[in-house]
Amino acid sequence: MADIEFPLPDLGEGLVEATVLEWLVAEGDEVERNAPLVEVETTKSAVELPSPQAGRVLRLHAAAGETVQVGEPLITFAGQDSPGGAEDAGQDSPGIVGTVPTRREPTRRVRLTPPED
Amino acid sequence: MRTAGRDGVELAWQRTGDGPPVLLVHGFGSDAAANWDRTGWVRAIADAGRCALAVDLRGHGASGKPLDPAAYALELLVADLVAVLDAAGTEVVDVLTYSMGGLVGLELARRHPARVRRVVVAGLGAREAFAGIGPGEARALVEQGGEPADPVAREVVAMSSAPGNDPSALAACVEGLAGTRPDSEVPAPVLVVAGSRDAVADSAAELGAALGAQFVLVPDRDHRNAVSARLFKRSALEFLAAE
Repeated sequence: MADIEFPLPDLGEGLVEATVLEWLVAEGDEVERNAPLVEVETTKSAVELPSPQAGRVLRLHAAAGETVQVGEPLITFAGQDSPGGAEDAGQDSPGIVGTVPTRREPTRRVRLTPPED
Repeated sequence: MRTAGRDGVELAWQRTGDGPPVLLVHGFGSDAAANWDRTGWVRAIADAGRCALAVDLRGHGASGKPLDPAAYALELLVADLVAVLDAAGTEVVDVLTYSMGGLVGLELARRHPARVRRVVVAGLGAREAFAGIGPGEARALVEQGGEPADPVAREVVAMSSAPGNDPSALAACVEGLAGTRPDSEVPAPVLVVAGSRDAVADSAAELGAALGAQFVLVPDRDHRNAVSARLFKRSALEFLAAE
């Protein structure tokens, strides 16, 4: 199966780029969906991005200190036939949860929202 | 959730997760979403088996924004936190703070020692609040904008002009809290955390010493980007997990 590449998501407030502060995963790591993936910094604030899927990290496209434009590749996961990747890889195109999750699973938390309100 | 403070100001807050509660108190010009949610803190706290109570301080986020500096007296901000704890049905809490939120969290521990177990203070130095901004200067500062040389003044200008913020309310907040000192004794264990490049909190080690606190320096981080640091999260969650 094809490897799955995720771009830097739109972080809101009209920001067009972000700088990698620290990767919280390494190439080759098996990560769970929604686990902390990377810290990035915009001109406004620091943001931690959670993993959009479970699977094995194939490639990190920017080192700490490098700037990535919104829409440019951020991370690539190994394709669905790799160990751990099958469970969460979907048919639609999931995105990293910056501001707009493109895929929600009712049984799993995508964004943390209060139980009441 | 919305809860009224002692003087009627509306306070917005959210509860996430189950377990022993942690009250999250954000910094100047920020709010619960920017300081704690987007930085991964709420997720980390929930993953640690804790409940996050994240409040928007008055003048910030979705809470009421009074324009009178007297509405930002430290005592009233502390009363706001008590009102949120009462509304949440929470008797005893750990408190996690950033920057100006530390002034409020530490004073909560002083005034209500039975309700506060442990306090984490990050991005806060030992000097009085908003040192470098003279009496009555705050309003002119946020109206003029620009890039003042003083790091505290620069931060106030930058945060005041951020989207969604009310510069007049934030100027009132600066005036109401100016001169507050963070460094008097606190009857709870305290952890102090700061980025090694944090110009706003460059006296954080002194604050730690004054409070008899543990101190963690986060390498290569400044006031803006120390918030999300893994070392900050790990240190704070370990400290708050202690009996």
